[in-house]
Amino acid sequence: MTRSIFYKEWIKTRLVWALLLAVNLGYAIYAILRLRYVYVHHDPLLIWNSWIFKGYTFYAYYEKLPLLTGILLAVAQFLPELLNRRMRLSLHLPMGEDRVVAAHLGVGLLLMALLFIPALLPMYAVAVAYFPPEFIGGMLTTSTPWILAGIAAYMFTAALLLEGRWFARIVLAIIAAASLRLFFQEILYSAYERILPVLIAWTALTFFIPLLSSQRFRKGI
Amino acid sequence: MDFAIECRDLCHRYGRKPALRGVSWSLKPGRICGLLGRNGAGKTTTINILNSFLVPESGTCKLLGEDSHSLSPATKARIGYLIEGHVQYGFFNVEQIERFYSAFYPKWDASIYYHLISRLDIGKKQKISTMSCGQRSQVALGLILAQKPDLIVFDDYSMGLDPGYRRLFIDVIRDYAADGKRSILLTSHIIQDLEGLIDDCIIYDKGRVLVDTQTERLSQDYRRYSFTAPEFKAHLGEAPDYLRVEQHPSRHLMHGFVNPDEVASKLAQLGIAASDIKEEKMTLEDIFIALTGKY
Repeated sequence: MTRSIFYKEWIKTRLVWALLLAVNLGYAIYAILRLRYVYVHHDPLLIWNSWIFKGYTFYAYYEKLPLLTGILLAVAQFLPELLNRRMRLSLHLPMGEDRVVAAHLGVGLLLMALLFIPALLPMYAVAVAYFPPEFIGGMLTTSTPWILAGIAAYMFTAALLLEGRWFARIVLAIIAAASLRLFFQEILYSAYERILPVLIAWTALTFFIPLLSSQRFRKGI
Repeated sequence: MDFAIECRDLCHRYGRKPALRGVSWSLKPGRICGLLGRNGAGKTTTINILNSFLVPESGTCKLLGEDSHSLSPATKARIGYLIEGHVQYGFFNVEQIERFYSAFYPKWDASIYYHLISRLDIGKKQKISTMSCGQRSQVALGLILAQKPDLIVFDDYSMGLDPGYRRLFIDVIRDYAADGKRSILLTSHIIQDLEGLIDDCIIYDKGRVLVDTQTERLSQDYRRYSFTAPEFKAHLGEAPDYLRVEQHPSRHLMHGFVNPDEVASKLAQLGIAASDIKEEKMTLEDIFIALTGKY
């Protein structure tokens, strides 16, 4: 049954997913070229000074893309369910209602992973080839909040679309905007290193928000 | 399990406006029941409660013996549900949607679905979003019947359908229910289509059950008489037999659960000096309008 839900979600979102993959890969290629440019054209001492001491991020172009990816993927997945309240069809499938919604969200997470990994892996591979390990660890901790923001944005957008009432949507949108702002307070190198576990926990919690919205939808609240 | 559907004392309000005021009725297994009512009578609210998309303020609703808000997956697999407007996943084509649904239903019979599809002028690769409303209705119906459900709820099945597709829809339902094992609840505003199809009839008016009876009994017992009389003022009060009197320029009308031998005395009780009393034939739609009014 879960495979069937994956099949449905794939048929529904594959065009948008392919477009997002092209954009993510395009950005990754740009970031790779930028890293290579920094390596080739700048003095190693200057790079070390800018990167480690001043916290300058040479690959910050990728910063907002996971956020945009998360929002667009959630819209592609849940807007068709919103039209004509089509979600009723999915909720009537012979599975537990929470399990149905969780399966939809699981598919979304998988599709996002399949967008982020092909984009980030080559970027890290190139960075590993050019720069010392201190830089690479920092790259991970710097870019992780962006990925988490993408996941949280996906969950909030899904919740907004599953929500049945406009007033609740407005409240949720305000919470979402405030919450997502947390992920972009700083783009300095490794700025989020200490608070990263909290951000990971908060992102994990956002998984339950669309579940609550779907429960409210079912109760007609 | 005594009933396929059992609603007890359902009450619900939207804000301050009452939508259901203590509604109780049941559907016996193997019966086809029409849930009828004018716009705003409470049909959609009831259907939403039945399909667990609305929690009533009070009262209970059971489907195949389970509370409608906590149906087990096994029971859900025994219930087919047609959403108003024949809503389906428009991004699928004919084959894809069959493949999708088949994984969920243990009794799935693809031949039922493809048999219905074969009657239509559509290919297996045609997307549902590109179909006409009539074609989409047959796809939605085929998907429900392929589940081989024990209970089907058709919410306003006639919405947007031309007479041909409406007739086709009814024919398919009638064939499917012919074995007498399927329980079907349907709502529609095209009441003439339901004549000869529904075994039972529940008529709502302003959030209450006005009539809950066998259709045959309703057609036999609810009668209309025309008569001539000088101008009159009838005071019906709370008539227990749903008595209605209409004044018209030529012949006046009286309808209700009134036998032919009681008509003259009933009219006399109402202070109407009636003459030339004649019984007139009534369709189910006539009865519905007589009971619920035109305004």
